[in-house]
Amino acid sequence: MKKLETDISRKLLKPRWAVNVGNYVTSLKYSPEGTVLAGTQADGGVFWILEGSKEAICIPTHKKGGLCSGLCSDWSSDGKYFASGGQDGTIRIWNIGQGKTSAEVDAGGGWVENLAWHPTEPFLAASAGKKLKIFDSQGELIQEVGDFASTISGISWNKKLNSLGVVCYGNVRFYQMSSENSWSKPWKNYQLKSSLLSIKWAPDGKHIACSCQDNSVHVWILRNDEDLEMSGYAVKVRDLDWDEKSRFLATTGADRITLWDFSGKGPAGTRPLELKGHADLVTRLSFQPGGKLLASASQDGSVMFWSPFSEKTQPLGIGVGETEPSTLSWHASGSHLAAGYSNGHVIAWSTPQDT
Amino acid sequence: MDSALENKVPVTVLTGFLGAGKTTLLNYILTKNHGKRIAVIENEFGQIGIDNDLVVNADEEIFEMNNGCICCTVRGDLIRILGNLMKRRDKFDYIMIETTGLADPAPVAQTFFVDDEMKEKLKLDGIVTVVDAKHVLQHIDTSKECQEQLAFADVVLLNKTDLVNEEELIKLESKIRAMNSMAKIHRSHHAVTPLENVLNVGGFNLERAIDIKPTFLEPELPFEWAGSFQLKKGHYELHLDKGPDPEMDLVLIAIEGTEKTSLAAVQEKVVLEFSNKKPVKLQPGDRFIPQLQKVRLALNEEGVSKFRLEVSTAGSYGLFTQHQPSEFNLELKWGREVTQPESSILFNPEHEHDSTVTSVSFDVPGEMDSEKINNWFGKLLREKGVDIFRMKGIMAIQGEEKRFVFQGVHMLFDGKPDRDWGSEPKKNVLVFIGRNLNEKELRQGFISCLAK
Repeated sequence: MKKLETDISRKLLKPRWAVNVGNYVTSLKYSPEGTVLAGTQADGGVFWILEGSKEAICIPTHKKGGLCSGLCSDWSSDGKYFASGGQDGTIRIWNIGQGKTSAEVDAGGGWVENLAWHPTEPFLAASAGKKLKIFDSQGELIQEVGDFASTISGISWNKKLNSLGVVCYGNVRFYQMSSENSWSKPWKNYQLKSSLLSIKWAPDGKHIACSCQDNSVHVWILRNDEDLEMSGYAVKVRDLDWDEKSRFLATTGADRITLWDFSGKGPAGTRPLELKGHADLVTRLSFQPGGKLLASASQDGSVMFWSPFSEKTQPLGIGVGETEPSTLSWHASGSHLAAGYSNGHVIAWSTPQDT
Repeated sequence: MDSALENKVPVTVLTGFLGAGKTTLLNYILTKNHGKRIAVIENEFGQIGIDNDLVVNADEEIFEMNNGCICCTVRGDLIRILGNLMKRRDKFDYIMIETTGLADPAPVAQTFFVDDEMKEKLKLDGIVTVVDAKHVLQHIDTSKECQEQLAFADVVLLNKTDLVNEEELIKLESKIRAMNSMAKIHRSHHAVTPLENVLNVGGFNLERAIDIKPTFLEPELPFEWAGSFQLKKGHYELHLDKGPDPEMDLVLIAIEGTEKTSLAAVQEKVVLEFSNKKPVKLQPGDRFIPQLQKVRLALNEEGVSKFRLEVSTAGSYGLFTQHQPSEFNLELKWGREVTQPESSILFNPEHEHDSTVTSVSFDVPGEMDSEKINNWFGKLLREKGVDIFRMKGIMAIQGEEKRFVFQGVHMLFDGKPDRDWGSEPKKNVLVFIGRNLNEKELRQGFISCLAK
């Protein structure tokens, strides 16, 4: 045990910088260029931190009643626009450079829970309740997409297939923009009588992964429409992420990270790689952009860096905050990782060397 | 009590038909100065009139699981909403969830036991069902939703009591009591009731799992009346008129004395004998003798039916009858002389049978065999879990110092060792609320798990 403690202390990281934004950080996103880190807070605020400034600008935004929270946010691919959504039912499109919103849109369906800009074009997909809408960068509605029977729990773009994956209770649907900005019927629809909670598309477009309420992960293979079920998680799967090469699907529904290897014949019948080190439930996972590392956040208060490609099952570095990290965002260069915390802190952790 | 448990936010679920008074009750609670900050999750048709910062709308999304198990059915919208709400933990200290009039309470309750995130951060305190005293009688026998809402309740608020008379209220209360013996029933006008009647009632709290008033635990007996007689050696005649039932079951056995306590002393074994599926069937004119044997008298359609009783030893005897003797003008005659009972007990009549939702409860002294009771519960919940809405109880397990307390919703079973028995006599108490429950089978099953 002593040896392990020494080992951990040797791996302890010092914060690159830390800023207090004042309230529970509900979403956090580095701009594509890495010049601004922006996010939403549980008190309805939207904040941003200019890289290198070590100061946050916080603006009360998604407020309506006493419990209104900011829920989600995303940067457009060109870094010009930042969109935020919240429990007030609105979407705000920000011009961070000018420090103000350029559009405010009523999403018309209750809480705005998912926002995602198209990977190359200035189109914003947003879901609120059972409604999914596509907006342009000025907040003008392009089209309402589909007809969903239950609340949309996740959306995920795929650049290669120029498509949007949408998940709700019992359904995963795939939409593609046709000519003249028109959104047609889904080109694929998978059904599963289960509560699907999130969606992540493998970058190569071959697989789509969803976490389920019943402590499992479901993966569909688009080539042959077959599906795989990964079960046996201790609790509900909190997060999942694919690496850039679409080899590993990292998942967590326990105090450890489970990695499924999709290279070769895929994970069916194989034992997943397990990364153990956290002392409590792992809640967030994020692969390094352009690199090979994986970052994780846990209820034990720590952020850890891992190197799954070299099959190292010990963390490379550990960053310990005061409270639970609630969200993670890598800087585009992969040189550091920002973590938002439940007490309103934002801490940037430098990526440890993978030696 | 551990601090983790204390940190959990209590949740009260409010059910009841549209117009019963749920919103009025919510408004009353929210405007009352009680120092609690209550967050309200209102159903999509809800219409809280007052200005409250802490109201969130929900639209009842039922999530079933791939495995098809009904006990895993949860409210997806609640998981999402409550998960988000808990990030503002500092803003409130109590949560109330209002359901729509036709909602099934099971998925709401199960959400707090099935989902790990909810289980960790919140504790279901109780289900409060508001009923319109005037209109509920139209639904209580026919509406599945109405029956389930009453069956799941920890508290039933009988509202609009000013619109019905006392007699109707008593009838309604006994009807609800028959369906759900665990619930506390409170009367109200305009949904006004002391807050302690609806908040922090501890309905799902294991520590209070057994806070059931003893009167509710009076077992449902298969006989309505028992009387003690001092009988001489010789021939008696039992005379019965036509009554509400063409047959009458009874047991007549020797007892120690003619006090009520002597009747009570043999009660348990008479209960068991009453479950005998092969009674001795008698036609008018037939003879029988005092013994521990269920006797079924077939009665004449017209006039008096007479049966002969042969008493070989003078002494004290107890007569247990399925129905009340007065309903049949029952008389025990020695020649022309009517023998009067020395003492008698009128038991709670067995529940009305027009409702398929009932409560059954047992209170059995002794210790349970852990393997037997485990197997019995396992099988029962697997096979009958769909029909068992709620259960609560306490058991003495052989070889264990501590009381084992438990509660459940459908197939979900939640139990743990509690405090030591100490000098208290060991006993096993169990209450089931459900649909089509076979009381005799349940009782026998439960009793058969007693350690030898």
